[in-house]
Amino acid sequence: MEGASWLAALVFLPAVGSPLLAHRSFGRFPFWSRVVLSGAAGAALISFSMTLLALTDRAWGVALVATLAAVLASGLRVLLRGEPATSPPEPARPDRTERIAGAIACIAVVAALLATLGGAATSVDLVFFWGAKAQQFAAARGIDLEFLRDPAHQYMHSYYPPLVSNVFAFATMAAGRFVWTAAALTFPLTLAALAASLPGVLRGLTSARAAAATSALIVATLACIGSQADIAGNADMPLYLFETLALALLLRPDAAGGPGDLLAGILFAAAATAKVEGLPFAVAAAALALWLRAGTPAGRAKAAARLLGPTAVALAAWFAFGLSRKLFSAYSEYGRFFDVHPDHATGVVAEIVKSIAATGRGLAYLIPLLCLVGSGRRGRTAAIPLGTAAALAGFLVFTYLHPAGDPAQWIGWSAPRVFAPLPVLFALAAACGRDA
Amino acid sequence: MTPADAGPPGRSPRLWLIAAFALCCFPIAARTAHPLDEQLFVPVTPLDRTDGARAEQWAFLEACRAHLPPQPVFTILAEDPDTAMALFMMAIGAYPDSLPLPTTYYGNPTPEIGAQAPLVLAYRSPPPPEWNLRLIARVRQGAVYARVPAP
Repeated sequence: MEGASWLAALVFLPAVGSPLLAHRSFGRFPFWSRVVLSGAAGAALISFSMTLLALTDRAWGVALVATLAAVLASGLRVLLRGEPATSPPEPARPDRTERIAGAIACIAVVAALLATLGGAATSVDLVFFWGAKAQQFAAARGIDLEFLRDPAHQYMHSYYPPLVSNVFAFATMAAGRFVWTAAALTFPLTLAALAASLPGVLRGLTSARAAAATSALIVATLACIGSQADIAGNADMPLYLFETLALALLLRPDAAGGPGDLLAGILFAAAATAKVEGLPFAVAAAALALWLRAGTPAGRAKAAARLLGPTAVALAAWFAFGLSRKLFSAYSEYGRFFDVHPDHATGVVAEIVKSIAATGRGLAYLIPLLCLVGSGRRGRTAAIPLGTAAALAGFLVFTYLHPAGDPAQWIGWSAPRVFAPLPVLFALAAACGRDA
Repeated sequence: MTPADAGPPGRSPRLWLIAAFALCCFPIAARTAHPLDEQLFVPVTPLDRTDGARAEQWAFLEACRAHLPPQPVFTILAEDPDTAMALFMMAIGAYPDSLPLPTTYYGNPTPEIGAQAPLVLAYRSPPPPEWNLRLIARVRQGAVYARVPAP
């Protein structure tokens, strides 16, 4: 029962995001896409509100956090003043392909659900620190400095971006206690949210059949990797949701413009405050999207502000908190930025390939890549997912080059998860049409 | 480009759907390869099927819970530093109102910190006799002890 109320508290996420997504300019998205996009934006705003309250030494409360986040969502509508109304594609009865794609996505979500309920997908990180931080922060009604400063809690990773611990703490405050199984169930729940929303978002990029098939492939890929790499209850699945939806938004022909850019920007902020690797993803994807766009320098600057402004503001609040409390000043556990060991490069790449191959025999990475190769030459927009994939892979290899010792163990337990966005990006690239 | 001239899934959606279905089946097939009694086993810890060792350690902490006072201050002993560290990390979340004090921290001995704890949870490893402990309860895979104050 407590698990149900913990999960039910997550209903606040779409509720607080809905003032923004209710704007007429987002009418282009079907109902479920709008609900999930509201939830993703709501997660970013709830987390930002909690960080802001912690920064200003205000105690968290469910009503206060939700109200502040909803006010922020309403305030963001000001940026959309004058944007015209849009309407979703004409509703049509799903054809056989769409129905089969929907069924496959359902099977993938059910498989993830069963794996999680069976204790076969739970992340060790959940029981090591995500759950502990969420409980502690909920009890302290804020980011508990005493807890994070304790030398014995060094491995609580105080600098880790705050979204997941904040949102979990929010649900814990609302439900009255932290529930481990409920936290683990965020994996199938978030996967189901992606399955429900992605076809509608991709529908602007490609045909209904192609959108459904691409979505089914992406959902099945993430279900497979998530179940094999044990991500239930950690920050990976929320990160995949934010990144996939943001990228899909950028690929739509109607992406350029206030509403599309602002929404993608908020999702990038959510990704960058969910995990460290969300930041290079956001910067690479936004830079590539801007590079491909025509327009005046002023117009591009405006678009850049919409795409990356929310990330800058969200991370500025987080680092302002860390710096002002002398808690952290950087993503500190990886050593100095350019202090790398290039002589480890061959070994690092070999370990990455080995760990990926050991995760479901590498099929979840290989099959979307084969789909991309089989799809032939793609249009210019495919440069966004493919360039982002290259940038992310480069960043991850660069990160793995930092330890002076053998990083094999670190790569073994992290690479299958952190490289998971790559097959998603391959599938999105394959869905991009050819240039006219 | 218009949606109508869309990419390859539009041309060969069947192949994409077969690929997606194969990816759905893989984890299910891997799971059903296990013996039936193992599949029907209802998990008692969040980690039963992801990490058997951690699941045992979680179950040990759960078993100790009944023998701990409210807001306990304790340290954990285990057969090796890695296990002790894992138990320490899990205890922070498993007992949210507690204060676990490490006797080893990621392989570095910290006996001066652990010695401040009035309670000792010993996992598969009897505590050294010179610690002067009183047994509170034996539990699965270990025991809970209290330090006897020096006379």
